[in-house]
Amino acid sequence: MDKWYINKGPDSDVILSSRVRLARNFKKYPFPHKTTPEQQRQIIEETKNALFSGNRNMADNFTYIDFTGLDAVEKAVLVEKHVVSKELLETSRISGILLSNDERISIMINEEDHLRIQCLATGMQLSEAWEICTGIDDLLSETIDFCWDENIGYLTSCPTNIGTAIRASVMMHLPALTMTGYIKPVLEALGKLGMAVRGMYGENTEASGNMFQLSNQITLGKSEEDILLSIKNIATQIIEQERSLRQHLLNQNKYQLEDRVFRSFGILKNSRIISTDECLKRLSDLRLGVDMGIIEGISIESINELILSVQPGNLQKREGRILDANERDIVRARLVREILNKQKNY
Amino acid sequence: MLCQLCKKREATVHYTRIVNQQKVEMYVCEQCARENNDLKINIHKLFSAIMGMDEPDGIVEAPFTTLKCSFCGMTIDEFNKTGLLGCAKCYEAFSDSIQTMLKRIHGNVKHHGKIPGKVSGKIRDAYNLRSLKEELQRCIENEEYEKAAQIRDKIKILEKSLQENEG
Repeated sequence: MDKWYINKGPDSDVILSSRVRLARNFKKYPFPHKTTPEQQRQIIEETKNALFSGNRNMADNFTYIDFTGLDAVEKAVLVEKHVVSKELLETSRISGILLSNDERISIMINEEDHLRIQCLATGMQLSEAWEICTGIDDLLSETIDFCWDENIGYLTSCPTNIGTAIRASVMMHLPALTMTGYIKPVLEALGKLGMAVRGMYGENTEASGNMFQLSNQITLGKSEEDILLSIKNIATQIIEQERSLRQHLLNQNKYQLEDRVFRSFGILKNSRIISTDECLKRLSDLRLGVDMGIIEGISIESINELILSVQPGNLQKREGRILDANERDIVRARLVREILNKQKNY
Repeated sequence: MLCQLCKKREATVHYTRIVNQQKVEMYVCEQCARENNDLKINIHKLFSAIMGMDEPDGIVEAPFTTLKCSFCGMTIDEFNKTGLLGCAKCYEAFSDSIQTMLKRIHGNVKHHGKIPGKVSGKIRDAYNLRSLKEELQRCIENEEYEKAAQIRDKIKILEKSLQENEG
C-alpha cells in the first residue's frame, strides 16, 4: 500500500502535510503520569477493545505496536514519519500505538494524555484529517467514557490543551519567504494571531530545510471547525505570499535562483558525505526548483520520499544496522545519489 | 538586535536579573537562552506567573501551597512544577487557579466544541441553550435581526423542553 507521505496533495508546492490531533482521557483513571503500571495496561487493553469490538474493518486496518519493547531505531522511524510524538518515546510508562496500515491514523496510548488520536494527510487537507479523527473519537466514545465538562470541554492533563483538545497543524515549505527574510515579520504576526510556528519536529526543534509547522495554540472557546478554518485561512495567506515571492525571485533574480537550485542539485547528485542538515537544505532548494519548473524530470514524490529516508532512523532501518554519525553521512549521500539517478532525465 | 552572547542570531529573549542590587539586562537568542543554564527559563516560574502566583521573595502564600486534590493526591505545588494535573477532579480542586490561568491562555473560558456522544440529553440541551444564547447576543450586536429572531425561537423551544423534563 502507498504510504500517505509520498503522495502529492492539494497546494503541495507549499504545504507538505496536514495533521489533526485530539487528546482524550478516560474518566475512570487518573491522568497518565499518575497511573500505575496496571492501570496503564488496562488503558491499552480497553482502547484496543473499543476500537476493534464489533468492527472487523478496524481490526483488519489497525496494528498495535507495543512501545515498551521496541528498539530505538524503530521508534526513531515512527517519530520521523510524524506518526508518534517525541514525548511518547521518552516516557517510562507502558505505552504503545494503534497504527493504521497506511500510517495515516495513529492512536498514541499513555502519552501526556491517555489517548492522542491523530490523522495525517498530504497537502492541505485539514478538514479531511479532522473528519477521520472525530470519526475514530465517536467510535471509541461508544465504549469509553471520556472526561468532559460542559464549561471547559474535554479535560486534558495539561490545561493548555483543554476544551476541544484539538491541535491542528500544517507543514509548510517556505524557501522564498526565508531567502528574502520576509519570514520574520510573518512569524511575528502569527504569534499575535494565537498561532504557534515550530520546526519540522514540533516543540523545541529548529526549522530545518525551510520547513515550518503552523499550529493553533488556543483550544478553548472556539469550535473545532472554527479552529481549523482559522489555520486554513492563515495558511492560505502564507501560501499566496510564498508563491508571489517565488515568482518575484524568478523574474528579478533568475540566474541567482537557478544557480542556487542547480548547485544544490549537483551536490545532492555527487556528494560522498552529507549531514542531515545540509541534505535537507539542498533538498529544499531542489524541491523549489522542481516546483518552479527550473528542474524537470524529478518528481515531487521522490523528493518527499528523500526528505523522510535521509533522516537518521529511517536511514538505519533501510541499512539494517546501527550506524554512527560518520557512517550515516556516507550512507545518506549514497542513498540520495541512488534515488536521484533513478529519476528518468538524469 | 543581535544576541549578546553568540552575536550571530537575532535576540528574541529579554532577560533581566538583579545582581548586587544592580539591574543587569541582556538580550539573547532562544538557543543561547536554552543553552545557558544561568538564563534557563523555568517552567515552574512560567506557570506560576501565568496563574498570577509570582511570589515576591520571602513571602510565602500559605493557602495555595496546601491545596490538594482529594482524588489523586496531587498538590498545587506539584502542578506548578510539572504543568500537568493529576486527574479530572484536579480541575475542581484547583478550580480558582485554573480558571485564572485558562483566562490568560485562552481568553474565553467556555467550551464551544464537540460534545461526547454519551453525554445525557439534559446536559446536551443545556449546552446547546448556552451556545444559542451566545449566538443570539452576537447577532444582536451585528444587527442581524432576522437571524436573531430565528435563534430566539429555537431558544424558546429548548427552554420549554428543559422545563418539561424537570417538571
